[in-house]
Amino acid sequence: MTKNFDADNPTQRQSSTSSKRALSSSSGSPTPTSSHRAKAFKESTEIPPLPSHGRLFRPAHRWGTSSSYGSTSFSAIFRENQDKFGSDIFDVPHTVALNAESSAAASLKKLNRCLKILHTLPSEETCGELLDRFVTAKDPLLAMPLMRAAVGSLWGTFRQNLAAPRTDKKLEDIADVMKTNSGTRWTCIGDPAFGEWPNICCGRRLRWEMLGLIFAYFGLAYMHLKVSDPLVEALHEPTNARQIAAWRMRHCAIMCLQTLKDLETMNEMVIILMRAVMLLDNLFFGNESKESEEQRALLVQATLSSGLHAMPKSPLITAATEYRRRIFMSVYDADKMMSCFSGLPPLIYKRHCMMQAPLDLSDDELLGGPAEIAQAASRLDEYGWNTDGKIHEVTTYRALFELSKVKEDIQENALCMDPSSRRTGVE
Amino acid sequence: MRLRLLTAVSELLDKLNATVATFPSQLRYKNPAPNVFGKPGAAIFAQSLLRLEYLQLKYHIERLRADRKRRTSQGLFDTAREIVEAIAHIFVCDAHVTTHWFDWLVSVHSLARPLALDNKKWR
Repeated sequence: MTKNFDADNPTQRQSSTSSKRALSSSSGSPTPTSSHRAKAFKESTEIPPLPSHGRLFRPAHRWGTSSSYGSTSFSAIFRENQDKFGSDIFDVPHTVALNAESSAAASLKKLNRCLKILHTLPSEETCGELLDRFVTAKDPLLAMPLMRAAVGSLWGTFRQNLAAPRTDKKLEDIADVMKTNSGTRWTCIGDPAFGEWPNICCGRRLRWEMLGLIFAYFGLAYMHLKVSDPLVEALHEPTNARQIAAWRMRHCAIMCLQTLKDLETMNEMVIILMRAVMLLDNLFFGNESKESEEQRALLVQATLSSGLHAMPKSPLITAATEYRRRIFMSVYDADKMMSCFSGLPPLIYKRHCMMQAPLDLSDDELLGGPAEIAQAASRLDEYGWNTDGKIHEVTTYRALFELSKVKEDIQENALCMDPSSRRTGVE
Repeated sequence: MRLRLLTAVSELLDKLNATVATFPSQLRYKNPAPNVFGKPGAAIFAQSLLRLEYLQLKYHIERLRADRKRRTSQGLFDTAREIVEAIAHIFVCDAHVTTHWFDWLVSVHSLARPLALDNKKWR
């Protein structure tokens, strides 16, 4: 059960006051040690201020859909009996993010971060070369048509701002656009603009999610270049040029993720970005590293909180619904693969999820529009496989998804601590 | 308890083979042509990758069934040899994927080696 900080609670108010007094006494103390501590504390600009309203409680249903939180959740009893309790039971006061744009310092920090990221973006020519060389990211989430459209719209909309020489003044226009867009709500299923996905975060609607994804994609692209590639030689680094360039791209993607975390933003595109950063981290740190395990945990938590594990079966086929299924498939596969590598138990279990695989549609068909999707879907067989004999990016991963279900059964038996509880039947 | 384990292992193998049987024909593994050291293309890569995944799962199932003391068995040895062949076929497709699997191959070899030393069958 979540604890609420209540500013009206005299006990808590007193403890807060005494802690403030402790800070002030430490700042006035003549001893060198305490003054150094106080100075270090004052100089720290990383600690956000406590919200003035004092409320830190965030209801669980803020992140995912109400259906993604099961019957044991705290709010379930109220949802199920809403008619009896009345509508005011969900009158939860609006809470702002702890690190939102509430202070000039936080706003300046985000602006500086945005400018640093935009300065690191490769030139238009280099972006095009990277897209041409890195044809497939070997993950159905990082679809080539999506990345081409995103990079194309970025340069098409902001070419004058991004053209050399880049100045802070020119880049501030882009930063302003992103600041405005980050304050708008992400489109969800049922929203009238849903059919426009994925254009909802490109061009003038550029968001931190898409910018981070572009950097993560370029990071993967650099890591897959050959050492003798002209793009690598143009970096003019004595050694490890690919890794250095990819590291810079990774750093920018991480900064975008950090900004999204500060803004407490969570949607499908953020999860795709997290997955892309995880792919990059696997290349740098390996599959068994601490960093990869931490990424896996965060990714799984984000996926479950967003309700991607509980999508109901629906005849509606759109780019967005299929992409959501691809996201869940990718995260489920990654969880099983890393569990196999590390020997640690998996974090997602299929009996808690709706295990519906995405359809075997090519990326061009999926992002071609509603008519093309409907036409392509009509040619699939009863199991969702394409009947053209082709192997799309998602085709292989659909098969891996089926194998991952068996992998989970194997892991349940292999990692079972109590042999007497081992199940004989497999599902 | 051993019987429970063996029953589970048998069912896992059946389920694994049944799952692979549902894959479309374009994903079924076909023994590559002799001149595989060219540009095999996406089809052979996908088929070989799935074959490797299938063998990995079969290997883990065999490990469950293997003799508890020595953790080896004939099934384990045979699967390990199939994995070596599959990695050789996929090697020309993607070096990154191969290095990922090569690390795993080393552990496979180290586990299959005791049986090979006993039976002197390892080549």
